[in-house]
Amino acid sequence: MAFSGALEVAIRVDGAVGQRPRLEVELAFERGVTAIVGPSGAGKSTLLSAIAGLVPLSAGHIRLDGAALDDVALGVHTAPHRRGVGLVFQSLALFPHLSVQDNVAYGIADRRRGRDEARDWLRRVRAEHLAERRVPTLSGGEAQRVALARALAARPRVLLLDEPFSALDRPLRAALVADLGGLLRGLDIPTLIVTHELADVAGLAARVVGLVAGGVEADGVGPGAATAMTTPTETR
Amino acid sequence: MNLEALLRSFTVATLATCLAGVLGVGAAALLTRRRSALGDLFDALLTAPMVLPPTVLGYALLRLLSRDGAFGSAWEQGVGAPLLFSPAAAVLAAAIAALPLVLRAARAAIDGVDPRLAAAAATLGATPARVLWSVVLPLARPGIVAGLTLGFARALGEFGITLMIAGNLPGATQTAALAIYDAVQAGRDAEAAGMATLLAALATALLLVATGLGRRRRDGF
Repeated sequence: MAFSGALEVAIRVDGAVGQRPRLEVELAFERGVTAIVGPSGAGKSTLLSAIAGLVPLSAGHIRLDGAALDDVALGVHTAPHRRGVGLVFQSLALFPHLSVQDNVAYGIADRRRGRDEARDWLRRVRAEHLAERRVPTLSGGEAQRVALARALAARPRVLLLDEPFSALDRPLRAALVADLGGLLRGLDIPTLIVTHELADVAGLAARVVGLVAGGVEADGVGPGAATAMTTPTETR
Repeated sequence: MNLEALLRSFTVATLATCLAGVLGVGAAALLTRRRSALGDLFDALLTAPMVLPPTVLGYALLRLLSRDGAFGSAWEQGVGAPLLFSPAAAVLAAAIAALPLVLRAARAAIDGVDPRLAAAAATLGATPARVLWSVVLPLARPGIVAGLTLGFARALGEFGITLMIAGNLPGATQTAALAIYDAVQAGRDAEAAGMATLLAALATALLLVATGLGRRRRDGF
């Protein structure tokens, strides 16, 4: 297949001995938002973890702007902290021992400006009023905004969002989707959003990739791709 | 009441807990989430003092720390005095006794930290050392402090290894546990009973503290 893009992913991640690979895909992502959909166990989260360098590859390579982040044949593996790949976990993984502001400042390289920049990012996700709060006191929607601000504040070269709306009820979800759309339009980086709900990303994603059983089942590009894609990739 | 021996016990236990803390938490950080045969062997060696008879450990240390041993001769050259039967040997004996408790508690506490938090820190650009220092250890702190408390209690009551490598020298290496032994041998029952009651009360209080810290860890932040 024609294979080039800002982010190139041609990988295999093996599962248990004797079982099919957990993931085997060849995908290229340009700058902009791509939605990754599929049923549970399709390999969506494995794909994000692989791009973030958190799971070992069995074969293949991942390239960002032409430079290898991973290349199994050449023995190249770039550690997660050197990849510049931001990941918002489904669990959000906010640091419970730090304040909201310190969470957001954690990934800011210039420590002297960390506080001011953290405030700025919190303002952009409309969560500046939460700056001094402790993480365990946040609601689901608030925590989601903070996790997004934290990932963006680290200025990633690739942004990965794993089920960013799953813990939210519908009104909160709509508000966050609208805010996220505004933020992502200002970013010129490949952004992958894993979701169960195609409707959530219809206004965000220009492309939708459907994964089933660790492989690419569907790949739709252009406006309306999200709404055009149907089952079996959409499960709810 | 032999207050001098009691005070020495506290000093020795405090220094021993610091030493066991550095070694135990450091080893736990290295061993956790890196399963290997070498790591398992290292873990077994550091945990062995919990199950070995004090005489076995004491004998091994006597050989290792004597002037003829590599460590003992290096110590004597550096410090200018032999290590065996010195206050430093009492600290070492108590640290070795405390180490398994600190190590086990620290490993459990570090293992209990959600690995996704460490992964999140790494994706934010944190080096493994920064992840450990700024995320894993703060979140594991209640469990580590519980382990240090248990280690301190164990160091406070240490007897066998201390007797073997530090001796029972009043005014130099005699700790409260050894002073109780001396008092019983000499028929000073009131003194033995007083010190034994005090040590038992202290140990119970420390165990209560450790239990409380463990409960706080389970309850989370």
